[in-house]
Amino acid sequence: MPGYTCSLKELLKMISKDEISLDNLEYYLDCVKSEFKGYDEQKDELKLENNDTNRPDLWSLEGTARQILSVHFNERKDYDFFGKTPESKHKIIVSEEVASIRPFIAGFAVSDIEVSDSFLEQIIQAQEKLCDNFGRKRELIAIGVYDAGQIAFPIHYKAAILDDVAFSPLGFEEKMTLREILSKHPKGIQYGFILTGSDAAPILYDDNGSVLSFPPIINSNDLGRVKVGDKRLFVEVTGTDKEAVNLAANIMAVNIADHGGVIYPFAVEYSSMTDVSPKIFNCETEITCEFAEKISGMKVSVDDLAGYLERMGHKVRISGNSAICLPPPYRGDVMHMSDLAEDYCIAFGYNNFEPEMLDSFTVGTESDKALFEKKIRELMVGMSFQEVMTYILTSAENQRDKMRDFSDILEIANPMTETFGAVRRSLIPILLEIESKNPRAEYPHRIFETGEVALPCEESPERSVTLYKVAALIAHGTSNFSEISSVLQSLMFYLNWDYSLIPFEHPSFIPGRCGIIVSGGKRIGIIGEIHPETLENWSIAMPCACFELSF
Amino acid sequence: MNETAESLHPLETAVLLAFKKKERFSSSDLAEAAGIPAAQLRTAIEWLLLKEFITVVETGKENIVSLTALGDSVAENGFIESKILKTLAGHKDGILIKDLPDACGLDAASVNPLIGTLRKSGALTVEQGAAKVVDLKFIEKLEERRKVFIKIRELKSVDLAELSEEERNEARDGFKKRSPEKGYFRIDERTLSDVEITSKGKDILPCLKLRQVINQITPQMLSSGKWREGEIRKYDINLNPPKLVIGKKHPYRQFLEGVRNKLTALGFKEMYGPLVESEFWDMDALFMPQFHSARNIHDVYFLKPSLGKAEIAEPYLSNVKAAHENGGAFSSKGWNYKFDVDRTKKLIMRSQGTALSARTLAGGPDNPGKYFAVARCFRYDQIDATHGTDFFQVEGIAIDDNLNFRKLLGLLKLFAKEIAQADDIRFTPAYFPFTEPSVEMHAKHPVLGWIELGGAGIFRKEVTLPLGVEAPVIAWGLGIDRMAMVSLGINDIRQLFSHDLEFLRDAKVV
Repeated sequence: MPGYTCSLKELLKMISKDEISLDNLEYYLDCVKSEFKGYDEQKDELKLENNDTNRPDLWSLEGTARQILSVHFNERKDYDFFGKTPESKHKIIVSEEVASIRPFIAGFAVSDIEVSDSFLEQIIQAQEKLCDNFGRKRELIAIGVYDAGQIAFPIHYKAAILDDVAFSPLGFEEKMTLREILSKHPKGIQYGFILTGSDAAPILYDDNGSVLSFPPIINSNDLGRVKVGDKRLFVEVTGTDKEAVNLAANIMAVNIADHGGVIYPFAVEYSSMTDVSPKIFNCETEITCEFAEKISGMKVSVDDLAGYLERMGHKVRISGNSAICLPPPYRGDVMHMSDLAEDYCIAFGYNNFEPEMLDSFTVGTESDKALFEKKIRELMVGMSFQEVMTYILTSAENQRDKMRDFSDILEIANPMTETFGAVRRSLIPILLEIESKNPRAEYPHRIFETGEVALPCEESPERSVTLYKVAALIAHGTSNFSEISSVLQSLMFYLNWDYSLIPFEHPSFIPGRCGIIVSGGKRIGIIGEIHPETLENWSIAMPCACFELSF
Repeated sequence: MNETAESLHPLETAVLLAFKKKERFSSSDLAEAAGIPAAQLRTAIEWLLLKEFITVVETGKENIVSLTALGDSVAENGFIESKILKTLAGHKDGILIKDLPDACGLDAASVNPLIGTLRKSGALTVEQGAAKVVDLKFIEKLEERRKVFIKIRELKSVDLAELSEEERNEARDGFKKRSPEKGYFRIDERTLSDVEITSKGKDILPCLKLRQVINQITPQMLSSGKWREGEIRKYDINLNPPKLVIGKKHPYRQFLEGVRNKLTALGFKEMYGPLVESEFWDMDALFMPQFHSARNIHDVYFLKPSLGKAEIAEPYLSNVKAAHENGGAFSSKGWNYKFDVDRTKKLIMRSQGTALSARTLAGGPDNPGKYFAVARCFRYDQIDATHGTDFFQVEGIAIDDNLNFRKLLGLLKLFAKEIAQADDIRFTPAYFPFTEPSVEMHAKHPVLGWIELGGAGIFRKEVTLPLGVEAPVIAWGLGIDRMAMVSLGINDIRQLFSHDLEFLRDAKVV
């Protein structure tokens, strides 16, 4: 969930409503789906975290203020640069070669802005959140911001062979080829993965042929630097998905416009068509009163419904009993009527709904596994066994090496540590692990666990099977087969479960003191005295006898 | 008084009854008079002193004589002087002093200091470096002195007053007060005391009966009726009994069973399913786009690729793919990307219990129907006081043709009341890729204060329709770990799966 910080003073200034203060800010943040994470009074730094991974417009000071103003105060800016015709020089000419590398671009220019420290901080944060979270670490989209005062328009978006072009990347004085940037520049190393597999890379030039940037990696050290005091900016977004590129450009544009900047749209000339950005790319979505009522459980008139939806930023027209919504250009999250239904509920206020009890009758039951597990647990406790509960993830060493049993096991491809690098297939190693850690606890030790294990199984759709098992272990100076066998016998007797023992050799157990538990012709478990060598592997100096059973 | 008398231990009664004969005994006489061994007498005296039935009176002091190690050697082997003289007696011309220790079979350190003393007492002479014996009678005198050593050795210790005057002198001469180990004898002063009955003791005496006391009732006594002939001793019932090691359910299990009981009581049916899931059921069926940020190797555990790929049943795979790509036939725009069919078959450790809800929806659920699961889930998290490698998630669904947002809030309110004992609740908008509207519930727990109790929402049509369910479905999940920790009295989540046997044995019943 994207976290972001901003100045509380700036936020309150942007909302400029006297009734909002730090004390009641949380209430207003609800409609933004942002959580208050703390405030540093000395630095005037407000920490927020947004829960909506599908609303990148909200991950900023500007978006937060915009949402609060609209939902609570019904105040919205008219971003009239959407739909304006670009000036003739304001265009990006896209070469055909980029189609196979990074096909889409959007951009706009800004004037009448005073770049200050705090403005720069906010814009850089918005840019980073968009690129990293929404842009999937710049793979989907990447954003560049430039001082427009130094750029000769129009802009040219081309592709170049990695060795053919050299320029000074941000932070470096010397010229480097694109290939050198990918292998030496910190950003090249970090984001180079996006361009792997191709000898060509995207590159942006101004009309004089000077390099603006090497998207999505790095800006030029000469033209690609924004400083405090700059008055005009150029912003571009490149990416692999057209809608995502347009959405990111729109969000950057409205955020900058919220600071007073005048936005100049750009034409984007692809070989086959000409586009414009920022642009309204959303299409209308309809919600009927009937659907809103069905979802919310409350009567609502179409006028009221339209009013609530306008508070969420939509342009709404009423048609019969339907509200037809055009989502604001900075939102790309409306896929279905239900998204509008939620918007309506948020604008109405979740806590203004009267909760209503479910009225249908259903019978509650535990699963058959849980019920059987309960019976086993009752009996084991009755035989004075202490129940233990452990992690399902464990180590391959514990399950395999220490048990001297090297048969197949489920292993994790990306374990955090080897300690949790495998899925338990048996509970016995876990009982032995507990025994090894408790030599000082008063003897005798009688412990058991019931729970899930998983094993490889080719025939199953998940190539593995989850089994429910119970295992019990007895450890004390004279524990032996007969003692554990009588526990098994009592358990099975009271469960009314017929079984027999067939002598068996298993590397974990002492030969001649081990058997498999068989019922209905199927092997259901194992019982025996643990082999001294197994005990040594666990550093256990107490004889142990145990059984394990699948149910 | 009678009651006190009855609660006395038989040893105490025996000792007190001895005082019927006289009021005062020396300890040794008392043991005999009470007819009990000395060791038990000491215990009985201690008890009776505490109860103030007897008192101890000092009667004087005695000096106890015993042998030191040196004295013991004299008793055993005779004086070293005697050995020296006997050796010299065999050599008429004497023995050079430097050869004397060897000749005696002794070491120089114990022989040399004695030569001067023997010469002074006239037992030997030293001429030209050689010692010669002069007075053989001296040996006899030494043997005479040795008798008292042997006597004390036999007695082990004796009161100085009981020795003859000669013996007393020998003992006193052989006692080195400052460093007793260098002398032949030890003389230790010891306080003598008598045991005397107190007036409180006299008061209780008439109530005491020396009776046959029954400590443990035996089957024989019961069948023979002999228990009638004795008196069953009364116990001090406040003595700490021995601790039992019993069998018990795990405290976390008890807590989870409580939650499970609540949910079944509220009409929910339990679901269960595989620990190893395909990305399809864990995420894609829940309309989480494949590019969702919580789906990479730093969020979920993947099984080793050698295990292979999952099989996904149709029509679910095609339906879900269409829902993701362009909304398919489900009146949605979809996520607008190319759905990776290979990716959806990847096997992972179940990362959310909602996977079970997706399977239940595809399996043809009851309508109306309510389902829940207490499911082990796995997330790629560093293990610390608030994160475990696997944990239980309590979640579920409710299906009914007339479900809506208000009923969702009603259900959450019911959970708050039944599971967290919370009447104060607050709802906030939330985001889950699979529900719309989505809500988070905060509840005021009696101990923890305001907590995030759970998240819920109405499943998106992009989730339910591809799985074949037309009716609205509420999905909910509850965060119960912090409540479990409160009820178990722990503050580290790792203790929920503790390996410490003493901790588990000592844990109270939840």
